[in-house]
Amino acid sequence: MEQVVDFLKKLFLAESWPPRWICGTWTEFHGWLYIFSNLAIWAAYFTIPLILFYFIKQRKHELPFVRVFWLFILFILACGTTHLMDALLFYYPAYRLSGLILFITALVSWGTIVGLAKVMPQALALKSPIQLEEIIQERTYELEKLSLSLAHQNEQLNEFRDITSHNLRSPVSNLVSLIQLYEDEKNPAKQQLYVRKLRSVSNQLMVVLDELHSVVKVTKDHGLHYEELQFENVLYEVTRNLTNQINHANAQITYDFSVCPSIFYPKIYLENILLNLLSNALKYRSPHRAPEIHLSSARQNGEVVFSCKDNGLGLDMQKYGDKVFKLYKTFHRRKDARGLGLFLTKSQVESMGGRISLESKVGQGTVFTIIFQSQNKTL
Amino acid sequence: MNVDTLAVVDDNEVVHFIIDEIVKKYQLAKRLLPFLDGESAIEFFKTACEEQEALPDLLLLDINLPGLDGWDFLEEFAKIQSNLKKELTIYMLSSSINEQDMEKAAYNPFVSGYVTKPVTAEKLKNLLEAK
Repeated sequence: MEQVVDFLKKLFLAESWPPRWICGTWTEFHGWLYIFSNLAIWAAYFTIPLILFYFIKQRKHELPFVRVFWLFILFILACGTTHLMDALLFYYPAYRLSGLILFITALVSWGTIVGLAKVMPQALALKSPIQLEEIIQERTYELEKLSLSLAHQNEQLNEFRDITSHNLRSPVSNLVSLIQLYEDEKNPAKQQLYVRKLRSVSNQLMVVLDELHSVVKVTKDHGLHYEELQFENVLYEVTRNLTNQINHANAQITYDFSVCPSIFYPKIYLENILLNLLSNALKYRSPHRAPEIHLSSARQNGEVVFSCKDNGLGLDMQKYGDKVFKLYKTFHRRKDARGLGLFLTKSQVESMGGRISLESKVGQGTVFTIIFQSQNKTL
Repeated sequence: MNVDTLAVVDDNEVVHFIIDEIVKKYQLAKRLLPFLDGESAIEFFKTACEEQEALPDLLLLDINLPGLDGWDFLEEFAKIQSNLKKELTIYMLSSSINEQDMEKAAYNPFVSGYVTKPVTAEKLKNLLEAK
């Protein structure tokens, strides 16, 4: 304790030692090399904190681990001071002061080590620029997907607005008109007639509502069950349901599924798609010839391409090409043309990531082509 | 009775029935000319354009039609309109209450007005008596 008090009292005194120049044998060159290098290190060690300080100021709000930066500044200042002292000892041999400075430097150095060790886990958790780039790309992709799906929903919403406007308001308007006619009429026979009409319009309204329900169901169907389906088996099922229509039309149905006999797909959808395509081909057959319908499947760039070719009425593609798949658009005057089948087919194909298109010539026939999304992706 | 012949293009037979009932009851027109789609109406105008007697004075046109819709009909009509021997007033008669449809009708030079369904005696009287 006595020694410590004595040490502190005489901290700045240099009385007990000779200056370093005369302690031992120094050549001029050796001495100045020593002094100059120490001063140069000191100058550098005092400049580095200035640069760090400038950096901290510039990045004040976004810099992580600012405390470690400050510790590092202190550490380098302390190191610099030891080198200054080392040079001064050549003229001013204050070895007590030098000892104290070394001790402080030791403390600061170990403090810095502790500080660094503490923040190391956090520092390692920081994302590298490459990782950040990857994250940004991933997010951008997700956003793009989201924006596409939103655009799709928006389109559906618009379509739905048109449907309510045209297809719900229309039968309801008829109900309103008929009720007014009924109320303004005194003749019971006439009134009876209006009631009959009312009944048929309300039935018609019920049909529209049921159809809309099935449309909304497709757009919302998520947990669909995928399975390996043989085209031939599905076609067999579908043609069984259409036996009457096929016999009535005297239709000939041929197929070739040899290249690609099966697909991994939800069964209800594939059945519906085939049913709609076939019943359309039967419905819009030419009055001049028996229907010939040919179905085939193939593989193209890993995707399953399905096509349905008929020799029916055909369609003016220039006039109606862009409307074929729209809900409640019909192109031939037929009572049973509801404008629903192809809309549903398209919805079912697209909700699984596929595409549907057609080629058609008036009086010659129509070919529908469906590209089902490649099976790996659907898995 | 200001209107001699009233033509209606609408794919819904009930609408034709309703208009027929109202027109007869209030004697709003002498004759009705019903069309269930745009194509047959255009065909009629093409063949009957010379016969002043056969041509309607007023046409009620639905928008949502099979094949040619109301707007397509107006495009086709524009091509043959100059051949007609009688002036024709066209009103849109639609269940659509979309502003887009109403605006589109307002900008069409052949369309004199837009009537939303339901068809009522009141509306038809106003239309046909104003003619």
